[in-house]
Amino acid sequence: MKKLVALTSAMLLLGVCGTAFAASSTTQTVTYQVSAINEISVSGNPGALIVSAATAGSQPTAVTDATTTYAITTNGSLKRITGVLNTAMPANTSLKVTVTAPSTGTGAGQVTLTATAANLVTAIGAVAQSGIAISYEFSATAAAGVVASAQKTVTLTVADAV
Amino acid sequence: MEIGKIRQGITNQGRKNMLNKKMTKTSIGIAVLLVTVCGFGAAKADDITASGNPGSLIISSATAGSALAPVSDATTTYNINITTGTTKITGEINTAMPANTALRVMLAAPTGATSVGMVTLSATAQNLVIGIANLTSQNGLGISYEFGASVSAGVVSSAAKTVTFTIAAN
Repeated sequence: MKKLVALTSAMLLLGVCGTAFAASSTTQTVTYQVSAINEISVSGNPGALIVSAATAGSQPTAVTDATTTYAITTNGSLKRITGVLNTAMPANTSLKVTVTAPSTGTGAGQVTLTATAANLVTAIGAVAQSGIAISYEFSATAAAGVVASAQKTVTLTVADAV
Repeated sequence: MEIGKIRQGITNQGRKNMLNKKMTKTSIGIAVLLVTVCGFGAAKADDITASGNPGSLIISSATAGSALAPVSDATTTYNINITTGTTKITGEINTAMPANTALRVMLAAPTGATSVGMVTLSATAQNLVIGIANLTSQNGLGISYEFGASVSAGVVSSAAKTVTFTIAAN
């Protein structure tokens, strides 16, 4: 009986002590999430586009500007960049833009800008890139006459594929 | 005979009572011993506790052309009590993070110990604080989390990981 009591006691003690000296730990629950992110910005405004020359017998010579760039970050897929003017250009004038694609997209080439959004780059995948070229071209036919200095706002937007 | 039986019965009952008294004494002795040892054991056990859970870590912005901006949380703390010798704190998460994301943590070290700094958590335990001296007891030590993701991670729905901090032999 004494042996049984002693053995039971020893087992109890070992069990209790074993628990007491076990390595301690604690936990925390960390909640995380990545939202849809689509950011685009431009380096600034292009220089003034002034049509001021022509070869005799030809339409006035178009002028270009390729001094600006854009940056884009998106964690989406099949995104596109659209471009739109705030209002239509004067009659017989045209403002075109070429937006170079980032590493994951496809450029649409030179696109005439209007007051309706047009695709400039398509099939853009996840990318974070800056310094991507933007090139403008302004042209006018003789029929446009003299056009006083004016401005248009060009809006570039990262959008979902249609 | 009846008297003899009665006497024998009394004698047997007396033995049982004595045995019960002995067992009671033994039980009390064991109980006292257990309480003593348990109390002693509890005092000897290393202990770490966290103040709660950090806030949600949600990446929702970036500067165009740059990587997604990581987010951080430093609202929680931990208490530690070491009585069994020089120890360290390790950290791990229950399962691996999604591809192209990283959960990092930095624990402020108790006095005299060394924080490893910001450590990327994985499903394998890693050292976060080392060289914690015996008899260290300190509260309110900072826990800083940082959650980062590259654009390749895509959109990641809200999810949770369990981070386990463990005191281990140094």
